[in-house]
Amino acid sequence: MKKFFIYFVPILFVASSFIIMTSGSWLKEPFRSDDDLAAYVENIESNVREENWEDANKEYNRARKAWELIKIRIQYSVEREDIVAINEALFRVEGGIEAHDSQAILSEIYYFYGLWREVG
Amino acid sequence: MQESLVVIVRASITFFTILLYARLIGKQLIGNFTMFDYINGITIGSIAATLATDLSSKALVHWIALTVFIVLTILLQFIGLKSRYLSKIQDSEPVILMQKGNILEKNLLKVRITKDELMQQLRSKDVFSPVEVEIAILEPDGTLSVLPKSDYQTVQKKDLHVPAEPVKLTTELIIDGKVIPQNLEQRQKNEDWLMDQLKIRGVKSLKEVSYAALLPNEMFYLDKVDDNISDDLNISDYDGPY
Repeated sequence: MKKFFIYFVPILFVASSFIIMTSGSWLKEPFRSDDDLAAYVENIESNVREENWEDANKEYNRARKAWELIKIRIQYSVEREDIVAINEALFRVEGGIEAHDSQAILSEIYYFYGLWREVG
Repeated sequence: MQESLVVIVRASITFFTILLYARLIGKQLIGNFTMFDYINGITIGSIAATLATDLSSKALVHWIALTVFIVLTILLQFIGLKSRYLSKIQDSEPVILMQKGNILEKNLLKVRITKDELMQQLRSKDVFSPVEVEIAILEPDGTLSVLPKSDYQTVQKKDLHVPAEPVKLTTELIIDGKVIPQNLEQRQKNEDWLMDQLKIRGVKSLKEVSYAALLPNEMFYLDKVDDNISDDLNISDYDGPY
């Protein structure tokens, strides 16, 4: 029993450490009905293309809430700079919606897509 | 980002990873601290510090670097065990610095050690005159091994034909009021014998005992929690607390 414990605890520790350090790629995926960040940003894109600014703003608010949830989940395994960059991209999208500037929003959204693919 | 929380998690991972890896490396690192071991240890420490606190990069990257260093260290240990030649390449060979009282300047130059440093190392080995040295060897871990000339070697019991006694270790029997049955058994004693010894010395309860041991000469050593020490030998100059 003691021998089992001596080997089991370190193996369990290494395995759980590894899981924590690599969890970003799957913890960014949606777990609930209100945390599908990628889908919300895609919705913002389609609303902006149709110049549907009110719906774009609603989708942005959902995206912001989803990001606050995801950020807490993935912060242990991703680089701080990536989190800061996604934060900035979302704030710029918010500014673009306020200014009804579709060009600025689209460039930020595609920057976000790139970050989102790499994060985790 | 909750940076404090992330640092707590990363520092905990680092702490226990180092603990685990240090156990895997074994005691060899502390025993034979060659220059390579020293630099390797510092590098591992530096990577571990980055793993704990550098939030600008992924923890996994540093953890992998730490693991690679440990794996390579263990690999080199095994290579050293399997091949004496490769072990010498890793750790270098011992170098003779003095022979029959003479300083070997060429070898000193080879290992870049000054005469002052050599003398300092000799003094730390209680050798205060180079004349006393038969041979002085610089070991790969940087320590100096000195064999004094026969005239300067200490007298051993067998030189004086004094009958030898078997050597034993001090065996701990009670620590902080807790009896260690395995050690009692080792010295062929039992708890009744232990209790008798305590009773003779006026101990009523095990709680009164801080440390008890059986010395190599079969004497019983007892240290009580209550030391009953007077203030005569108090070396403090002020009342304190400090």
